[in-house]
Amino acid sequence: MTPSMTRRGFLGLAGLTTLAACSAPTGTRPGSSGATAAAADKLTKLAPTYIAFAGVKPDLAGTVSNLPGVPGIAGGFTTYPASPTAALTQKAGKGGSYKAMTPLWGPPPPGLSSNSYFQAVNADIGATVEFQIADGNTYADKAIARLASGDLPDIFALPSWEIDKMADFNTAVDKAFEDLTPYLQGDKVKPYPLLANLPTASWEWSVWNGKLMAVPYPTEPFPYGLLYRKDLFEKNGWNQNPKTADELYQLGKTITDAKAKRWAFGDIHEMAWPIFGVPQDWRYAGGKLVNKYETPEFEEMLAWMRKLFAEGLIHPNVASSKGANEKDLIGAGQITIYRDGFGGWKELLQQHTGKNPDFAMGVFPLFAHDGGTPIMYHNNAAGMFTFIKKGLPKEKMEEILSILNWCAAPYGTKEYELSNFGIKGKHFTLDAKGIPQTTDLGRKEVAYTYGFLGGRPLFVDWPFPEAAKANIEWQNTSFQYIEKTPFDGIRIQRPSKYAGLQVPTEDKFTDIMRGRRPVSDAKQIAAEWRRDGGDEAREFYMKVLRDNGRA
Amino acid sequence: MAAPDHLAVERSTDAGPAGSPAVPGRPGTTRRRAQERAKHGSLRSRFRRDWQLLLMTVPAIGLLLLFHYVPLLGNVIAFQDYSPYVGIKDSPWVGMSNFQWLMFDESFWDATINTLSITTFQLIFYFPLPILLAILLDSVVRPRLRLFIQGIVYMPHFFSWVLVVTLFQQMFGGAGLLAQILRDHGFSGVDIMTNPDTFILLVTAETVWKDAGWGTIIFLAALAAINPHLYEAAAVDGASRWRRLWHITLPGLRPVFVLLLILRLGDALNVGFEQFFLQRDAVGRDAAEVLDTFMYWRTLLTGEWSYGAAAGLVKGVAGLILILIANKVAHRFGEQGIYKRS
Repeated sequence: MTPSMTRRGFLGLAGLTTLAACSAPTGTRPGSSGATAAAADKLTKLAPTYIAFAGVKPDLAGTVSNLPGVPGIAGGFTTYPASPTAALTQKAGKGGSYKAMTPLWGPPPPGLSSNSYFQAVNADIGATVEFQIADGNTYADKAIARLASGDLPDIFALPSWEIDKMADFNTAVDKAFEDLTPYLQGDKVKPYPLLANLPTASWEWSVWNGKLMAVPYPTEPFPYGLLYRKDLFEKNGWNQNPKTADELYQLGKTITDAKAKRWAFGDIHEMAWPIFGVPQDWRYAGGKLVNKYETPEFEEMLAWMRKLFAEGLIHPNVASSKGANEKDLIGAGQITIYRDGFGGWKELLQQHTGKNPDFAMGVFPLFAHDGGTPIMYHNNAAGMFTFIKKGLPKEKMEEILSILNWCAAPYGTKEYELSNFGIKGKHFTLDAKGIPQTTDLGRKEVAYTYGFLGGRPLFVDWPFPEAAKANIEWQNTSFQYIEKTPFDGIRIQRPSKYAGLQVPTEDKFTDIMRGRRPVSDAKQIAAEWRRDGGDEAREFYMKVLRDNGRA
Repeated sequence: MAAPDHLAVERSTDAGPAGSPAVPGRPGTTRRRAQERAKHGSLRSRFRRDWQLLLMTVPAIGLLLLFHYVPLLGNVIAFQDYSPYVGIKDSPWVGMSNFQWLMFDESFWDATINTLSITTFQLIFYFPLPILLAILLDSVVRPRLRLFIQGIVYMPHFFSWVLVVTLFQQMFGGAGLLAQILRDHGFSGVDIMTNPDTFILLVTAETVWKDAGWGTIIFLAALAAINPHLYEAAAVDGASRWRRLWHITLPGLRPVFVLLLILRLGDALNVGFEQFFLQRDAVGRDAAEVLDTFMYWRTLLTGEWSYGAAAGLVKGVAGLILILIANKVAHRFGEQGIYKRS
């Protein structure tokens, strides 16, 4: 059905001509609240003093980032320390009881009362943390509802990509969460040595409205890569190093065989953006800001993606269902190439190497659509944030921060081992190579929960040495291609209207990729985006550039 | 409207006792007399007589107040620039601004048109099906067989939409059974799940599969209430099967049919949320955005609470108007409708 009927026509039809005749409203629509920006260097004085924790050193070297606002690569481990040391000498908790909300991408574990892993960790912490786990794919829905209702957990983990979608978050953050500045700024962080071990850049990203509001979860520089089933590629002799968009497309045609239930691609369109040289958000050239949606590269990308959909190179389930389980399809070999963060790589290995010893994943080296110099996007310095409910008394605040300090224990410590794998001999055992292997009970009970309550220096610490090596190599090689954006190093709270515009606009572009609208509509969609708040956002961002002496 | 106890669906095989109402739906004489008496009694005497009955309604009224009437007050945010973090008290008032914007929002009208198209389509292609199915079921004489069939057709009603959509996906999706069989026989595969042009057929098919069986319950109850003597008398007079259907069965079902039709009209702007939410990405906004999903995207996901509330209010008022009109029309045709001023 095509709603070809115009709005005015419909109003006339429905006998609502009086409404149609009334004048279009003027001024801005209700529902746009303040946005701010601050250069990272101005935020440094809010951040806690950095004090490095003396722990194990990675055997795979990373890359130190000297790009402002871009996290470095911390490095990786190919072995697991034989005897992890305790990072803390005192109990973290004082017997308090707290509720914490965290996302999880997978089946939820049994609750506190019937989960020996939760009980063991809480016993070690010396306080009761009860998790309210919500599905990671639809976390925003739940998080927004809880924020709006005011019914908040004591500890609230929020991914930055969900915050980006929330129109009113700049107001919400002050109303809902406690300001951590008085507890952590500068040397005040000293009682929490593991929090002091987090990179300063990630703390700068935890500032809202001029206050330190959250404990950050440091990230890797790369949001995702194009992952593929290395074992199937080797078996079939497929090209593991496509160098142009066309080569990738040809590869897709070679691989796809619907009769054999095999499709080349899962959802890869977010990787198609950098391949086609679409800027990460804005491009500054000739004194003007151009948004990604307005670039010719974006249109080319749409046309190319449209071709993949039209020729059936993308798995039909991915095209037709919300959050189709791509990892299952990759595992079954029904998809061979997809886009994911590197955490997904590790997860797939954990899920499948047991059943299928040949199972292997790889990542395509970066390339540009025309074979030129590639670009790649980068993460901000913090990917997730842990907030604490507003209005808790000082002792409770300090106890919670102490618990978060426990959760921030890095690789190679006893606390890390307990939080990641559970109890030795019960939830995991060490194999012949000394690498932790999860037991059946561990698979059932241990879920990544405490780990989400604030981060730790992010090492590639996989129990798969080969994959860890390949990952670090790819990251080190790709680091030079990170696109420099006009706003690197400036902490920007997106204007709410601009944030709310993302989903409706990208819905329309999706229509183009799926062949439901012609590619030529891209210009019209960009014009609607400008009209509905894009231009307003541009002015805001221009002002940010001027205020920081960049324009 | 409570679903009747499903035992009532079983029509007793031996003839009903005299005293069952001759024409179903008409108030019995005893009830009418009680009403007349009530009109004459004073408020206090009526209260003294009925207080136990009134007491019994208190929990229901309490629930209604708490979960329907009190939340209704929250609709004032439609006239505000509301932020949950500031609260209703301190959010600025913006008058009709949200409604004005709504009237000029193309995506709102797209969603309205989609909703109305789907309602109309289903009114024609879904609504009569439970009646046909009920008449068919009613004609199955062996009680065991009938129970068995009923069990099967009721079951999908208890499946969640996620399951129903997944099942359809497995059957008719691009990697589904149908496409795979076609490919095995040298045809090109089809993907019904992602075709926006046939989406309305798809959602109707899903609704039929899920709910047509469940919808028969109320009609089976109405069929059971038809006096079997009427059929016997008609048969004796030489009426054929079709004649009996036309002159006895269908008129007997008419009051229930009209009642459900009115309720459906009042619900015309509600086509359900989950079914469309789940399939929106597959066929796109243009085909699958209905009012409920529009409000979801506009409210929950972008935090424009006031705008969503305004859209909800418009929808609610439109539904009320439709119900009033349909009820009036029903009265014109001499039917009970859903309520009647005494």
